[in-house]
Amino acid sequence: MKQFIAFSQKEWLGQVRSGQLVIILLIFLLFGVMNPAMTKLTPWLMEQFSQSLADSGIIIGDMRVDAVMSWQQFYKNVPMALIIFTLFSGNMFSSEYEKGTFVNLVTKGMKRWKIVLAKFVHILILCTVCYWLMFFTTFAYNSYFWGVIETVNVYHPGVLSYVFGVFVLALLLCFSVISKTSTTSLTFLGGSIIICYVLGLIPPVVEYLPTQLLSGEQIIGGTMDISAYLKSLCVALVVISGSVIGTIFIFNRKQL
Amino acid sequence: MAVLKIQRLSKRFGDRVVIDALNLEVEAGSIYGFIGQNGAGKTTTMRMIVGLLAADNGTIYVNGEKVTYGANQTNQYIGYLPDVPEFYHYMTATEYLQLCASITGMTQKSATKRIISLLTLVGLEQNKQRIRGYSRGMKQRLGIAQALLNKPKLLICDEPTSALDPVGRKEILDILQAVKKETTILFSTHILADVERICDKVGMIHNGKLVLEGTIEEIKAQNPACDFEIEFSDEQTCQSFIDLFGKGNRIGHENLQLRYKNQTSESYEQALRICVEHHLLPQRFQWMEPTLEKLFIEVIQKNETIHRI
Repeated sequence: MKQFIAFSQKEWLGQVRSGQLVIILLIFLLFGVMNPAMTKLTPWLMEQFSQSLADSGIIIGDMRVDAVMSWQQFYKNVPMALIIFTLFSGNMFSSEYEKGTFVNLVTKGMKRWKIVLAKFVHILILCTVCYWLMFFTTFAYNSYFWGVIETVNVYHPGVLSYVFGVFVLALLLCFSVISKTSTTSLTFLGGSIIICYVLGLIPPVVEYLPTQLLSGEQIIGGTMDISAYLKSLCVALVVISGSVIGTIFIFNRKQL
Repeated sequence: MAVLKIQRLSKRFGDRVVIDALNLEVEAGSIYGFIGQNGAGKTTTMRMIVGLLAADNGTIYVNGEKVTYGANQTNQYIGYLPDVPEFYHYMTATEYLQLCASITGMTQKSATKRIISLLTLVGLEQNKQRIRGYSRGMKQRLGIAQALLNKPKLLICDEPTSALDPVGRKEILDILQAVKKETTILFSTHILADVERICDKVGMIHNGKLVLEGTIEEIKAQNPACDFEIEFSDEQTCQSFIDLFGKGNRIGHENLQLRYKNQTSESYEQALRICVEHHLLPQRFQWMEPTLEKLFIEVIQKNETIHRI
C-alpha cells in the first residue's frame, strides 16, 4: 500500500506542478457552464438572425427553451470533453518509457502491478472529478434558470455516460502500456471506437455495444428507457475489468 | 563470499549473440571493474542482473538468491545506477529520494536521516532546486544517492563517468571510493584510467565472453612485456647506443629519444649495462609499465584474430 500511495502522490504532484490539473478542471467547468448558457442564449441568437433568415425564406416562430434542451446539449458535448481528456492522458506510460523513469523505481522494488493500478486510479479519480464537475455545473445552472425537472431522471443517463468514459480510459490504459508513443495509443483507441460504431450497423449487436451508453440525449428526450442499456452497460464493465487485468499482465512482461 | 555469481549466462538479440555463456563472480567488499568496448554486452549483463531483461540461458545469483525476470525480490540487495539516470524533473532531490524510500519500505524517520546523509555524501545537501535544472554530473550524483538509499549489498554502476567532464568524473570516482566500505561495487566503463584508479579486480568482456579477469597487478603480470625509453643529449651518443643495443623508434623533438617496445626485464638490464660499460650517459631512462589500455587493445586484437580464424 505504501508503494501505491507514494506512486499516486508522485502522479498528482506532477500534474499539479505542470499546471495540467488546473487547466483540465477549468476546461470541464467551462463545458458545464456552456451547456445552459448556450441553451439560454439560443432564442436571443435566433432573434438576432431572424431578419436575415426571413430574407432567406425561413420564418422563426416563438422559441422556448428549457432544461431538457440544456441536458441534450450536455450529452452532445460529452464526447468532445472525453476527447480532450484522453489527449491529456494519452502519454501516461509513453512519456515514462521514453525518459526511462520507471527503471529506477522498478529496480528499487516497485511492484509493476501497483504502477498500473496507481496510474488507472489516478486517471479514474481525475475523470470522475472532471465529469461530475461538468455535470453538476450544468445541473446547478439548469435548476437556477428553469427549476428542477420532475419528469426525467437526469442521473441515469449521467451515470451511463460516465461508465462510457471509464470504458474509454480502461482501453487507453491498455493501449498506453503497449505503445511507445501517445500518438499510437490514441490511434488504437480511436480505431476501437470506430470499430464499435461500425459494429453498430449490425442490428443484433447494437444493444451490446458500449458506445450505446452515449445515448443520454434520447433518455432525456424520453424516447428510450434506461433498461434498454443494461446489456451494453454489462459489456462495458466486463471490458473495463478485462483491460485493467490485461494491462497488468502486459506490463509485467514489458521490457523497460 | 560472492555477492554476485553469474553462471553460463547467454543472451541474443535476433541472430546476434550479445552474451555467450558468461561466468562471473564478484566478491563481497570489492570494486569490480567491468570493462569492454561499446556494444560488448556490459549494459545487457547489468540489466539482466537487476531483472530488467530476461536471460536466454544461465543463472544469476545475488546474495545467494536467484534473479528472476519480472520479479524483483533480489533487487532489495541491489542499488542500480543506469548509464543515463532519469528522474521526475518536477521534483527536488529530497522529494525524489523520499519517493524511492517509500518504495523500498523505509520508515519516515530512517528515510529522512538517510536522505540527509546521502545528499551530504554526493554534495547536493544545499540544493533546493528542482531536478529540471540539474547538470549531467548532478544527476549522476543524485543517481548514486538513490542507488545507495536502501544500503545495498551490491551497487551496480553502468558507465557512470562516461559523459562527464574531468571534474565530474573525479567527483563520482571519489564517491564510489568512499562507499566501498559499505557495499560491493560492480562498475562498468570503457575509461580504463578510472578502472586503474579505483578497481580491485577487473573483468574484460568481448563478444559476450569474459576474455580477461584478475587484479590489475595479476593482469599486468600475465603480460610482462614493457616499453622503455632512453634519451641522449647528442646524436653521437645516441647513434653509439643504437649500434650496440639495436634499433629503436626515434621520437621526440630532436630525434634523440629512443623507444623500445615489448622488452623484457633482461633487455632492460642489458641496455643499462651498455650505458655503464661504454660511458654512454643518458639524460633520461624510463621503464614504462604496461597500461591497462595497452593490454585492453592487445586482448581485443588477439580475440579478433582468433574470431576471424
